[in-house]
Amino acid sequence: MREPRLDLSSFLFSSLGHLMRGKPLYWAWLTALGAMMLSGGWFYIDQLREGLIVTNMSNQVSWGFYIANFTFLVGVAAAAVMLVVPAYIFHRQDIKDVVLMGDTMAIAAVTMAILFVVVDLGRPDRFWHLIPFIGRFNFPQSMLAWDVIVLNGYLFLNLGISFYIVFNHYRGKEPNESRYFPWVLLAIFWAISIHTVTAFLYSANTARPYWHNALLAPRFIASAFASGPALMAIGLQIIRKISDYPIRQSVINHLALVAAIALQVTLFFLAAELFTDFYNEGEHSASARYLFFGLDGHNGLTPWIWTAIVLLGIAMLILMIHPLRRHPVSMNVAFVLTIIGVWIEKGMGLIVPAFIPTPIGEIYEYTPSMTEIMVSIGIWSFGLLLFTLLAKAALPVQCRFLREHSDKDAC
Amino acid sequence: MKDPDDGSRQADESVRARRNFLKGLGLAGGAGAALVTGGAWGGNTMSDAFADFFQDNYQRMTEEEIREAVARIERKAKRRYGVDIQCDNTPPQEGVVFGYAINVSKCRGYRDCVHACVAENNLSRDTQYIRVIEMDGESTDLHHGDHYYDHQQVPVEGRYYLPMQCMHCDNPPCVKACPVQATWTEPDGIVVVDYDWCIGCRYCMTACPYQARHFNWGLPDLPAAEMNPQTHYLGNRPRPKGVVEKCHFCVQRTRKGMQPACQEACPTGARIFGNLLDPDSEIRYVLEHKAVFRLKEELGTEPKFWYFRDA
Amino acid sequence: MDAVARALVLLTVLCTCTLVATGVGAVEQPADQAEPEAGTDLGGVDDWDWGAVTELDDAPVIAPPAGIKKRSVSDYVAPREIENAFPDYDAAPRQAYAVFKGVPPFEVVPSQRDPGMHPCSSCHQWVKSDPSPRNLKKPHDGFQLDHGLHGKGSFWCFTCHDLQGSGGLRTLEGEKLDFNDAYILCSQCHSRQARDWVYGAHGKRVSGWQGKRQVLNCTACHYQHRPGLKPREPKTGPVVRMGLDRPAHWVTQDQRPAPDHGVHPAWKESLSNDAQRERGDGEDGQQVNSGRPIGDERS
Repeated sequence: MREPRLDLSSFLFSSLGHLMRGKPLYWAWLTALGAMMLSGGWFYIDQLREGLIVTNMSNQVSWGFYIANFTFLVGVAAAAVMLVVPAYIFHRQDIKDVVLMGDTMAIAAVTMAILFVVVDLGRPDRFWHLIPFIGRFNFPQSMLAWDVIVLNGYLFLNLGISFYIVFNHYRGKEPNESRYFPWVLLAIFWAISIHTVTAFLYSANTARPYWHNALLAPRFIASAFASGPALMAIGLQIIRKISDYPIRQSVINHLALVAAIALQVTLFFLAAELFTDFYNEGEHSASARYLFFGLDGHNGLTPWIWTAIVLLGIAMLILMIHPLRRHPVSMNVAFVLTIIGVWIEKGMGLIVPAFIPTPIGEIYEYTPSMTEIMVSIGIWSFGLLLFTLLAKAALPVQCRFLREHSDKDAC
Repeated sequence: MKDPDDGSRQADESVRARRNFLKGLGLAGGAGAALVTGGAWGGNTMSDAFADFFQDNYQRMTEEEIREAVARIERKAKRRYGVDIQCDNTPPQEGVVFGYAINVSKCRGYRDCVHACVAENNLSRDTQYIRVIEMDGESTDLHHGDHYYDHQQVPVEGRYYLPMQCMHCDNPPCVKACPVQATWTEPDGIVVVDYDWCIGCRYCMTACPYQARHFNWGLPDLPAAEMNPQTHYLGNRPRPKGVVEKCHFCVQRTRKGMQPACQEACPTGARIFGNLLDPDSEIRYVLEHKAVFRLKEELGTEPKFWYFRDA
Repeated sequence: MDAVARALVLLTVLCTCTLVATGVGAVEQPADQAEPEAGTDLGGVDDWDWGAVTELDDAPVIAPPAGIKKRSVSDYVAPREIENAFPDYDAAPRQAYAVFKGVPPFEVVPSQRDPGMHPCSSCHQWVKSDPSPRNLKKPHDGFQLDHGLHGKGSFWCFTCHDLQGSGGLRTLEGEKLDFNDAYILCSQCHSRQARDWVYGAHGKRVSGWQGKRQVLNCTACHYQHRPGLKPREPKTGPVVRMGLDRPAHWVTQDQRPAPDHGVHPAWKESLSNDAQRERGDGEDGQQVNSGRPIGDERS
């Protein structure tokens, strides 16, 4: 029998083949995601036709639900570094087996983040204005230009590294560490930078005292390292359940520990924020007052933020108490609470209050419209679909490689 | 055309190369663009849609490209509104930097300036570049001002009125923020927006401390019968949806030596506009002899918009 | 002899009535009426001998002829609810006398004359003018002079108008002054505003920012006999953007929805829009604003 040609085209074809083969649950999942994506696309076409007037954003609150999701997802993408560092720096083999899943999650998260920015643009047909030299790129002055570079760079970095590893595994070869390790190192620093640059995007604005503080970038990293690992842990447990890929419990425990510490830091930063804003309250705290206590009778976001704080507190306590952290039910509850809490606190709880009150003192509240919610669900579905497809294609390759190259009885 | 003196002028070869590349892209993918821009501009011809899509940033366009762009704008306005407009590209005058001052003692909150601006600058009827804030006479706290006052009579005793519009800062945070350099400061001090280059990300709106920038969330609600046909590319020519706009010191008027519409409309003479570089100008007299202040000076934006009182 | 004298007086009365009826109007007339009749004398100062006139207190009230021509500064300017001395843009601008040093030359737009009362000599060549301060009778009845804070009645017509001439202006030292140079007289009391006006920090410039500066006379905005500016209704304020139906919120200490509690006592009077309308408040501006200009306009 002829040896199968293991080159790029056969890799792509066999990956496609893996995507076509699946259990009914797989197809049901894909169908559900597809339906949500279609509905999101439908609403987005409406938005393209009518303009952003179909959202509930206004001149007063000019960034809303889309940018809130963008902020959350950039954090999730950055948190892949929590698997990359133990895998490649500390050479933990159990984590090294699953680092690819972390990269895949990062790819999906960054893609979603970029998509959220695209749907937020008033003129997405003018995207080419952002391309350096062809368009007119305001680098290095504009933080948004920095963000475009770091997000796209992170995407391609992760795509490149993941592809390199998987392709080599497909060909039965151990990837050349000296070749990809510098890129991995770069990806580690790049991961921190994507979230720092995104934080600087907000903290650069002297017009918005709610954002204009030095603590914003550290808060971003802290909450990213809580929500990212939580999401990853849930994802990995699902993969462990539906496939035979070996994911050791030590990996999940590691992620839980990271989330626990990150939650402590997050809540500490939050406490610092509350103290600084309210001990001697001036007008710079107006947005914080709106968010936490309501301002002049307007308190649309107050229940949300306190719910988020309570959820994060409970999650932190669960993850701090060893028996609770080890127990799968409580641990997963903590993960879910973390994700929801950070999404609120960092998404809506960060973006919207900075616009209320406006720099000239007007209060105009905001809740997302149906279009915004449906488009956002569509983008989340796309991200999940991307993750699913990438994982579905990569896992069999990993399985075969593990079987052939280690004593593990894998997959 | 203004030649930016910051050294960002591309070499001729790269300009040509970029233009050829763009033309190639246009042949390949123009149909999709026409669909999207068709939605944005409604009733565009195919060739105008292609040309629109690949139109360069104003600061980089040659004279001929600007002329073509201006002609396209006039054609689009005719198609869309049925109005023959004249779109100028009047360059800035040498030795002129504009400044504006408002006499707070004289402003009585009529909002004549607001509506003159709306009429002159072809604004969507739900947009106002100028916002007059009714302030408590005992306080300078913007957070306790009334933007939506609707009294039977103004001025109200114990209140004063603070009209706010784009301050045309010398250190503008919006210019720094724009990722595509769609907004910049012209040599005569006016901070302008290239409406055909803006991608609508609204980062500049986030950055502005004076809430001076406005976004076209939908198609502008501009009645054709009320259009002002005297326009400027950087000023009051009809704007598409999905882009940011703001006060531009009536660039179509001031570059020809006329008063901005808000100053002309003010019945009390509370508005003083002129050339900061002319030592004999009224604005210079005000700055030198009156106790002037600027808003949010502590942010370091260096606005060219002052306020003063009579006594 | 008696019959002749009586006949002469009657003839005088008849002639005066005829003359006055042919084209002289009253001071107070509504603003939006047609153009004045052709041939009406709209300017200039005539020199008449006042000694020859006799008083005529019982002359009938003269109905105003076609009204004063009004021109707005631009298409955008709302009609000013002030009385006469509107700028006459058709006349050539006059070089202004520089009453302060170092000011670049500028021009003043001359004022139109009130055809109802100009020139004063059209009546007062026959009617002796009584220089004593008093309540005026017809045809000047109903004329309110409300100028001067330092004790009402501290000055009246002939403080500014030329008793010996035909009612034109005079400086405080008694020199004759053209109506178009009224700013010289105004600046004698209001020197602070005059200084600002000459240098451009006060008043209305009607030419572009570039080129020869042309400004309006003081009386174009401040009706000389009742200079306080009246309040008026503001134009409509901003709206939140299309598609968002919720009204925008204000940020004021007294929180709009509940005007009867939590209201700062100083604002209780006027500021709820609904309450204002219910009270029928502010119709003539008296309750909302006393009619005095904001701040002290006197030097």
